[in-house]
Amino acid sequence: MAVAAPRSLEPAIEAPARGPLAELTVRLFREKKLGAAGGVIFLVFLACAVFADVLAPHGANEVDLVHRFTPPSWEFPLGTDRLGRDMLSRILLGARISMIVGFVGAGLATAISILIGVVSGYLGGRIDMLTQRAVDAWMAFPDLVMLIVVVAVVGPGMPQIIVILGLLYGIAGSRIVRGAVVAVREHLYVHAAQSMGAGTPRILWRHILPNVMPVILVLFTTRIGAVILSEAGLSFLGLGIPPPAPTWGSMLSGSARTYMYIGPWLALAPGLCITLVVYSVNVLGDALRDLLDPRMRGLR
Amino acid sequence: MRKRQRRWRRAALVMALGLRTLAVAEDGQIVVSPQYGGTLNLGTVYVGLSALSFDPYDWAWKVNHDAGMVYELLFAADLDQSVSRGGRYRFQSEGWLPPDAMRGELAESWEWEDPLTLVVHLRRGVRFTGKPGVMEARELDAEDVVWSQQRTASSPKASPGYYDHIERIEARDAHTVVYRFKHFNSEWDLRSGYGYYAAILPREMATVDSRNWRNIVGTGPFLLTRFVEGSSSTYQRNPDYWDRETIGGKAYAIPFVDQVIYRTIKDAATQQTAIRTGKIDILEVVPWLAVDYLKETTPELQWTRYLGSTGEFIALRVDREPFDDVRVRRALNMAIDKREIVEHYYGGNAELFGYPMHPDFEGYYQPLEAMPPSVKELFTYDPVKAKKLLAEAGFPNGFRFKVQFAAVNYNHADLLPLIAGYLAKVGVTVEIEPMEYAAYLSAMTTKTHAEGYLLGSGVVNPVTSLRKSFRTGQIWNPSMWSDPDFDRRITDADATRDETERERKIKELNVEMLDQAPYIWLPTVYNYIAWWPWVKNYGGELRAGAVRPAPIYARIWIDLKLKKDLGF
Repeated sequence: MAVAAPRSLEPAIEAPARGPLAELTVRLFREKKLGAAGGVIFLVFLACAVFADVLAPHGANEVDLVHRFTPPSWEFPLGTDRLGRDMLSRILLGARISMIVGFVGAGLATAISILIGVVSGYLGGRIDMLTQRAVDAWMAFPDLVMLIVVVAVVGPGMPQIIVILGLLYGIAGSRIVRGAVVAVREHLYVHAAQSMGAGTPRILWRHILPNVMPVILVLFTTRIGAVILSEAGLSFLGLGIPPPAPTWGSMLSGSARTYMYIGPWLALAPGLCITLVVYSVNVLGDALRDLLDPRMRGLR
Repeated sequence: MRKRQRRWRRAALVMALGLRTLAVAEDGQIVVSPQYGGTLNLGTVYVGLSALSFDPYDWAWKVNHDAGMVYELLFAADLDQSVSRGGRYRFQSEGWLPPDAMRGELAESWEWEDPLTLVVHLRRGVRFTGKPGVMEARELDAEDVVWSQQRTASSPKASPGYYDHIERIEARDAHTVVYRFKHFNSEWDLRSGYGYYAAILPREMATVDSRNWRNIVGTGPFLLTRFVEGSSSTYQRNPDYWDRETIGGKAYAIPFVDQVIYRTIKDAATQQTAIRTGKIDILEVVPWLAVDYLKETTPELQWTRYLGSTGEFIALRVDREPFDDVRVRRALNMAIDKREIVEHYYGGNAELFGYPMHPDFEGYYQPLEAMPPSVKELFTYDPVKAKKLLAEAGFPNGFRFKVQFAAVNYNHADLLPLIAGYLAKVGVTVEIEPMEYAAYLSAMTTKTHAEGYLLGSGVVNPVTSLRKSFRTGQIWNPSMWSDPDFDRRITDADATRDETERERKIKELNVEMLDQAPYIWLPTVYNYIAWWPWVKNYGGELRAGAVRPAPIYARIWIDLKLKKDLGF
């Protein structure tokens, strides 16, 4: 007769509990390597932006006409522009502008998306219909045309650009949040809360919002790239942050475009930075969506 | 390596063909023999800008550039006097023909019957080409001239006062037009003869949509056969064109080329690629920074350069503080090292001159060296004196002001931070505001622009340049200059018949205005013109009237064999 082995009276040694963010990070590196690489690249740029003052070997607006159009060298690793300004220093300080615009713009856009999407999706009915038709009308305008018109009216400048881009992407993004809210509001726990007499603000705050948070997180991540790209586009057209601020878009425009044959480094450095940041943030967003969406679990 | 060898082989071929031509010339034979045929592809001086209108009734400044290939005017440049043909003039000015460099185009001759009556005799046998649905071919007559000019003057878009000096225009007979003046106007030849809006249309245009490019019919060297906005304008040779080009004592029918195509290319790098690859035969606007690269990669190209026909400056609003104080305006001029900008920013490819007078305005122009010391010091870097003047004006610690510029102008976008850097050294902070072009222009025309306004303003001709810049209420007066004495004197200069006397008055006024420093004067850059060696009978002329190149293009021929030998 087989005797069952006595169960250990010692408590099982459990792996140390990880917070949800740490858990997500671990899963990101394990399951979504491309997304993780995107996250690392983005963090590198973020660090460059934060420590730009320390890292930049020269002043971003330090004019040195004698050294204009100097090709990459030890003294100027990314070369100099038409005014002899060091491209590396301008790229680093440009990263700061891009990050500020990207984070604040995407944050504002996400807040607007949440406000419109949650209210419209949860309340439904006439309010939803009217709100969504207004969103339709807004989305019917080409983004760039609207940006140019608004900037022409209010004038260029970082606060204006952030507000405009926040509005532009926020209103368009509300459609995504609304879709998620419409799905969540039909769940039993929402009906239960309603039947127990919970007020709308409480239901929205305690039951709806936490359950659409993965969607919001992904929306925010992808919006960072979109906002950076739009700011670069506006700056490329000369309507972004005014000179002499070193934005990547403005560095890519003007002299860089005109003299790219004699100074290819003028276009390469800012072009690569924009591409890398937008790509990295997009693959990171994709990975987060996959990890946070229960339907995608188990898929690679 | 192979590429470079190929380039040099091609350059050697061009040289060999040139030497062969020279040898023939020494033998005393005909130097050149023009060829007919081929297509002339052009990146004109307005290569980035499509036609704005084909009807002078619209008063679009560029109409002569586009419709002027089809419509002719009473006067045009005498291209035999161009430098490339042994003459004195470059014909690169936007709207200025020296009186002795002007010839009759549709006008065969003209004379003053009395001090206020101008009689113009039209050339006989000049014919409108005709077009189905618009008109039959017929001869030009005096009624066409009267109708065209009255119609243009009656446009609601007409510049106020532009034709105020004319009492009436009448046809004395089929080939004689009489202009009766209320008072003399020194620009009569520009405004009625070779100017921006002086094209002669057939009267039949009244019965069709004259703004539709398909309808335009003229007497000119070309017929407009295709127009694609933002892409190209195609002109076919007018086989019945009346004018001739005399080469080696022999008169040849013109145009020589079968077709002229204006290419519209907005991007400068693409323009340069187009000339490098032979997609265009002439590029009339090459920035100086691109020249070395093009010379290295395409050594066959021929070159000339020209000083831009705009004055570059930051207009300071004299109707607002702190620029209502001349000491502040002068201080800002002295705080900028303009010579350094010429030497290092423009690599020596720019000039400082006393805008609004342009070096092209022979007789009216005075170089800075000939100016009084108080004007010269505005162009001399002296930050110490600038600070002293600012302190005297009550700004010992400087001040802050906004400068607006058009975002499309990449040169201004680079130049302004440099200017701001100089001004910062005397405590003046510049707030740079790039603007979308329409908003930028509208700010000036509605007088809502900022205290500083960076502008490149065209130098039309001596009187107009001065008048439009500083006369009270003028649109192109961004400094908001308003002085009744100046207004009276510029009107007086305009009405002065004696050219020497007019020159004296204009010079005097120009020096006085420079001394008042309503602008921060900046250098004007040189541009280059590049063309392939198969383009013949051309020496870099840009305009044979106000923004009108048609007579130049009509005289160009293509050496098709050379083009083929060069692999195109």
